[in-house]
Amino acid sequence: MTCNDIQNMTVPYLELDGDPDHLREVTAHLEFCLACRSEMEAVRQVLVRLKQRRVPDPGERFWREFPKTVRAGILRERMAPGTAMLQDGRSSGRLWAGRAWSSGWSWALAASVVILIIGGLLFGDQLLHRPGNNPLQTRTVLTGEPGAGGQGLDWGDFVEADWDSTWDEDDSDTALARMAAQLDPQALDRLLTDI
Amino acid sequence: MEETDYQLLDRYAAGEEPAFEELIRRHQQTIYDLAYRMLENHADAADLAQRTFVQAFLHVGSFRRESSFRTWLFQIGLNLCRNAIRDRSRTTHENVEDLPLVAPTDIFDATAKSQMRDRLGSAIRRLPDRQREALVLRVYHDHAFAEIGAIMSCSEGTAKANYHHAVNRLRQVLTGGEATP
Repeated sequence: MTCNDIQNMTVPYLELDGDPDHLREVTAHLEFCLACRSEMEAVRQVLVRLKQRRVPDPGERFWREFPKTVRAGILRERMAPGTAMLQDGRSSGRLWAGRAWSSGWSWALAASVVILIIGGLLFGDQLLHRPGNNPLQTRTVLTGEPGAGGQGLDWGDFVEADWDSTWDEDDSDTALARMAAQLDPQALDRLLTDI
Repeated sequence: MEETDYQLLDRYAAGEEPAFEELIRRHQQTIYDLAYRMLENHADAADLAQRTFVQAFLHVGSFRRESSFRTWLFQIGLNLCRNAIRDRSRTTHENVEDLPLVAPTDIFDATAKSQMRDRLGSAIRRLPDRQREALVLRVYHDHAFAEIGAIMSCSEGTAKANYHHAVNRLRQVLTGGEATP
């Protein structure tokens, strides 16, 4: 056995982890090799010093209260299942971030619909090239009733309708809600799909 | 005769409150010790030990009893430790630019003094995560290498190699005069 072999055997030797014959060979080598003996002693010292490192005791009160804090933690997690940590230790914060992200997209989508409606109101004529107002549509808006056949307005009619009175009578949120209520559900679906 | 962990788990599943407390009391010091040795401060260790038990009891239904309950707790605790260390390093990295500028000599002086106080601790902190985990599990918790492999989700040989590398690295740092940052 060479000194290099011994270098690779120091930890297993000190742990008595290895083939007994190999360990005996190491012992025999150490008896005549001063360098390997001092190397072995250095590693042994490291293990001794490691063992001597103590963890400060947090105190009797901490241990007494500990089961209660665990119970409280379990209750907290059960009350808010979305915040549960995964067993592999990944932080639930990521789950929350994911949900917040999804939620953010929902809001963005809703905002986009509103912007499109307003944009349609302002520029619909130019975009769709449909001149004039249809009296039926105007009446529908003013009375708050759905369009003919109870289907609501399609997109083209929707953007051409006269919404001035709606804007005059209501605050902006209510006006938008009333306007959206007039839109044909299928048209709204198509709009959302396009978005 | 003392009940086994499995028996206590059965009683806990049947709704017996004392079994819950007994399981925690039986392992709380071990898990806190693991957390403290990995995170090196009481607040983080206490929080992590608590979260380890919370996760264990929340997911106790998925514990298949292929290992001891203690080993399972170690697996959960060690995973949480890894995430905590990773999050901590991210936070530290993000805050570097916020640090006030100080004369370089002051920083080096303070670092040198600190490292003189606890050179071994500093060397342990600088170990790669896997080596440090193997070291802690072996030296402070007396796990067999097969068990360390089970906890760290690696083979017994890999666990052994990580431990050997860790000890040899510490030996080099402490007695070989390897430069410390």
